[in-house]
Amino acid sequence: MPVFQLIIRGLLAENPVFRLALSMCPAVAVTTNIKNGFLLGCAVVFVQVMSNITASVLRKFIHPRVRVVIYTIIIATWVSTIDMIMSAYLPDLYDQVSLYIKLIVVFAIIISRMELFASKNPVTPSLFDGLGMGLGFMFGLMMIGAVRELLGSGQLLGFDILGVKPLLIMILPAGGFFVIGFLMSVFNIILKKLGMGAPPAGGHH
Amino acid sequence: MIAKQIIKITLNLTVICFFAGTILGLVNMGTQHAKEENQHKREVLTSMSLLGYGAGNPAPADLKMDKISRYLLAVDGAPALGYVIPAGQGQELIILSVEGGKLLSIPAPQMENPEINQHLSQEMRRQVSELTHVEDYRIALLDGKVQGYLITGNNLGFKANIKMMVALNSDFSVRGIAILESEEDPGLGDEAKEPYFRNQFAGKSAAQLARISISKNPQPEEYRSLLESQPEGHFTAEEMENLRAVYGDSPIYSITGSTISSTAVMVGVQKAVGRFVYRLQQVNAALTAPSSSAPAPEAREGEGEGV
Repeated sequence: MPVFQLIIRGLLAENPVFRLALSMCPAVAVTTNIKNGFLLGCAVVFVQVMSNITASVLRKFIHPRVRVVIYTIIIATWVSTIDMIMSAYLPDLYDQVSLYIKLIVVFAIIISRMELFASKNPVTPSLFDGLGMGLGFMFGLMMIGAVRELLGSGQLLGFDILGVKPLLIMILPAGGFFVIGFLMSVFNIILKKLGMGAPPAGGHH
Repeated sequence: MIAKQIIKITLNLTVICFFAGTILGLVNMGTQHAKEENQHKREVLTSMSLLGYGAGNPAPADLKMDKISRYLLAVDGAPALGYVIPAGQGQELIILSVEGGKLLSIPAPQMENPEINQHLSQEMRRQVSELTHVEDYRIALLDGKVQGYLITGNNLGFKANIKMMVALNSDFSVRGIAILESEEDPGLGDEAKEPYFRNQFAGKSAAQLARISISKNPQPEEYRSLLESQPEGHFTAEEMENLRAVYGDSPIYSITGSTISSTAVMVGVQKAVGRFVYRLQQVNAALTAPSSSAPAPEAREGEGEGV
């Protein structure tokens, strides 16, 4: 499969948030504005790509009985490495993203793509699968963040747009569920119109 | 067959763990120094900002930062408290009993935290043991007058410890607080770093701070806009007065959806300030009171050897 198709697949047909419904917890908790969604998305892209590459490189070595343990170690190693390097050499950026990075260790989407895709495919497709899934996740979070920020705080990217806060509940956790449900249905209606059926559970193998 | 499986799986995991451990160890080694430097830089920046200095208002050149270090130690096997305080040109280690009575005082000209034991004389080392550095309080002085105190507080937040810094005026009223390290959730507990939450402490006197509580009601709009008018918390003296007069006894309005984090910060600040004020009074009382067991003269003379 050509690489750009792998990326498009992660963004649309198998979007982790709207189509695969994976890692919904951060999708509710973090997305009170666009910026949060973007920063968490960046961190996920990086960890997903690196973990996919590692799992793909080691796929012949990893014992199938303990693969989940090993995937967890790989993710945790990458997350800790990035955490340490950023805190040492990019302190200003680290202040912004450190909270998001630490959350990633337990994201379902990352281990799911390692298990379903990277463990069976060579390095290059695994890299682009990770990139596509990461970007899809970022896209989903930013969409949710935009709706919640606009309706909950009357702002977009921190700039005052409406001047009032029409629906305060949108920045509360409950609002996250409403927005995700609403956007998920819209997304699926559009893709259905485009003739795309439901993806297999967890995304393509 | 089963034994072979066990060995295979064990080997597989061991090798992976070995590599993961090695990588993390190497990265940690390479980044440790830079990380600590950044943390230190940040603490200095935060302290300056809390004292009201920033890009637009640089700190005067003769601003002096003194340090009081607090230790736990044992004298003749009994637990005691130690404070290294500035005295004249040098420093002094004063040792108090748990009840606050003064036991000893030792000049400690160059005592730095990790090597404290080496700077104690032979005699002293026989009496004083198990020195453990606990924390540092900083005092900002301008022309010999106290500008403010900087103390740190710790409290368990929603998941991990929240480390905060509190700046006090010379009368122990709160000048401002800042969150130094925390792992609260973004958009929820992490909002404690925002002016509308953290500036709520500004202006409260020590007595007001000790009795405030948390409120889940929405923050009044005019209070919030007042708090947000100084995002760095650099309120003028009149604004501070105003904050204390009008909102001094108002509760800390919790962050929406994050009562646990909000309470954790509030209690952390209360504890830090309460304990600091109590300890400083203890030290001051000990400094004015005569020593209950005067240090032996030979101990004083032997002090220089270890330096």
